[in-house]
Amino acid sequence: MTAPAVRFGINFTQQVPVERIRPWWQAADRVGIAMLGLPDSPLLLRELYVTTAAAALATTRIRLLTCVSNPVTRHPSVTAAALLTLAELAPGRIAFGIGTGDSALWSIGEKPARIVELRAYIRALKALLRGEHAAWRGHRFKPQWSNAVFPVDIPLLIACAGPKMLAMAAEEADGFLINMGYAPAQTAWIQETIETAARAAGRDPAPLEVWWNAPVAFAESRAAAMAGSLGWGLNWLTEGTMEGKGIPEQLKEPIRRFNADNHDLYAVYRMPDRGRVLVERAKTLGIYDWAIEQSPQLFGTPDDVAARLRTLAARGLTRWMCFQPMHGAYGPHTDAARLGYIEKLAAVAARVAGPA
Amino acid sequence: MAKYGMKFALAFTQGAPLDRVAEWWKALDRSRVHTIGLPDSPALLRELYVSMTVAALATARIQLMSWVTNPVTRHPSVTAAALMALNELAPGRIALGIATGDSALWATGQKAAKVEELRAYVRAVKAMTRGERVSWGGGQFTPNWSNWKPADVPIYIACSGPKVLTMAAQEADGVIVTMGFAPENIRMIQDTIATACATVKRDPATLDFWSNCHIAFAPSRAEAMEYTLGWTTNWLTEMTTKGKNIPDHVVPKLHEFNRDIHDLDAVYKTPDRGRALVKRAKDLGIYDWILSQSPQLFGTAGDICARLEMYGGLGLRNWFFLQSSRGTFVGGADQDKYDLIDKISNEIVPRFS
Repeated sequence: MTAPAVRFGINFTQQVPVERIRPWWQAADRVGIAMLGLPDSPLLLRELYVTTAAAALATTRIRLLTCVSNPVTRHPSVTAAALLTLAELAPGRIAFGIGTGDSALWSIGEKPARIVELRAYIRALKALLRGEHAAWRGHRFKPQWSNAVFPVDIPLLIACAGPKMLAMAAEEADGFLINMGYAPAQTAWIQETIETAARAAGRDPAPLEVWWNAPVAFAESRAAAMAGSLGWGLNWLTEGTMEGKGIPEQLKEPIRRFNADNHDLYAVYRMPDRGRVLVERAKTLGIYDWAIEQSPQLFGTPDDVAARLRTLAARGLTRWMCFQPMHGAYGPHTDAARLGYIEKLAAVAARVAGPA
Repeated sequence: MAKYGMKFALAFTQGAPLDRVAEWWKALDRSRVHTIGLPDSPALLRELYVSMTVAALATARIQLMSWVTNPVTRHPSVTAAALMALNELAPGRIALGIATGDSALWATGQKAAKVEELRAYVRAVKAMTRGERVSWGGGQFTPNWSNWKPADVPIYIACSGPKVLTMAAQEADGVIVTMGFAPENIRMIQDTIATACATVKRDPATLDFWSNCHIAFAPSRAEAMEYTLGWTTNWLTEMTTKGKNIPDHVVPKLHEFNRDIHDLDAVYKTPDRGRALVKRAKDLGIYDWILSQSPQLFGTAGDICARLEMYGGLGLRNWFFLQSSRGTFVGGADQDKYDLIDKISNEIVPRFS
């Protein structure tokens, strides 16, 4: 039987000037990575739409995804105008990723949006991109863009870290970015939730793009990689509620303690060797085995990672938005480390691309 | 003989896909024009920071300024991060133009910010681009950008009334002023700036002053005056009509004249809007007063130079131009834009810069 083909996206942070990131984008474009993710965290990174525009001009093939924006820091008219403008610069290559808001908000003292607010923002955006009247916070308005072709074709993907978000996304969006645990029972439940919610909304779930979000930790062996990475982010477990996330009751308090500093910019993004610190912390708190069980475990050599991806693909997990785990201050900063990572990911992609 | 060391800026609206607009920007970069203005009106135009990025990468010399953004539609952290990233792409060529908010707000059902809100926003953005801690919305935060150098990106405030002018003179690096061009208006503006600067012990000469108006080249003044008043009167009825040197009997007529200034179709998409406004001003009996307040930069290059010469003597040295509309604000043939750039660059700039 032929294994399902696996597609990759790669999420790079814009923590260096665009002139330096551009070769990373171009390398990802060249080696056949499907999607480039650009985070939105203005207190930490170069601004999202400046960098996405520069990426659009620097690349020719790869899709560009905001990964992810939020419904708080920009009025929907600004976001819609940015998406229109980008879609004209890179036709068919722009996708919009959004969540309720993470570091872009907590770093400036703002709270995440509620799901109902995110839904309203998405509906406003979708209406504007169709050239229709949008409703937002009691006002109705319509875009008057000249020389624009409607509808502007921009898939909207929602970052999901809980069952309510997943259901809303299945009703409203074109796809998902999912970080909700990767154990077989968990992914089966996620897939079922999507299917049920989409069908309840009268939608065919098949065309919805499901992207699984996880770090891929390359090393000379699985053991070496696992010394510095848990293979996924546990921060979502304590965002909003801990209910409905499949967390064993006795692990809730240790997980809260594990995530105690996940809204501290220094700790999350600048602490040297953060990954290794988190592995040790998980062991100390007694949640390591559970965290690994829930992890996609994309660890080790390209062959190790490819073998694991084949297993996951057999369960229907075929699109992966990857990022380099944090070995140092928000990931390796050297250009060689970035380019080497892209090459390794391309090597994995070649092993799991499936039939042409 | 070149006089006054004047600088000239030109704003084009991003009313078309950017691969087309970039050609206008490149022509400006090749010209002697000092600054490109990029409007921020997301319900109408291509988005500001995507556009500024494309402009930064398409040009090599010319200054790029948002003309103008507002303190409502983006959190200040977004604006500061955009300025930082743009300044890395085009070092020393980026400026932020900002005001309380115009079509970006009324076209989406929002109200303009108060002057004190604008002041707080400007302070927050300034502090962040220097890497300092800021207060905003009850929170305090510091940018955590990596691999960057603090940059003092200049901030210009668009002013259309004495309160915002006073605040701008206290806070900003420069001002872009639309407050009437009659000699008494200019004196009032200059006095307001001097008084405001004194309150913060600032030398008014350190405030980069730009006048904002239309320019219209035509075979004669008379022909240009058929389709342009030479400036915009919107500001006269925004917020208040007090303190703007408007005669009492003109006030109700100005309200009637400006009745559709918050209608996107009327303002930006009506064919020959300029001609309609000239007729409306005449019908309402306020044409002569409006013209007396206009800089009247219209007619032949010689006509325009004569006016600029007069204003140079009154201390107005820097001019931000918008092409007077014979068609629609966001439309127009590309060749019209290239012709305007050539005329400003070759027939105006050499006389004054």
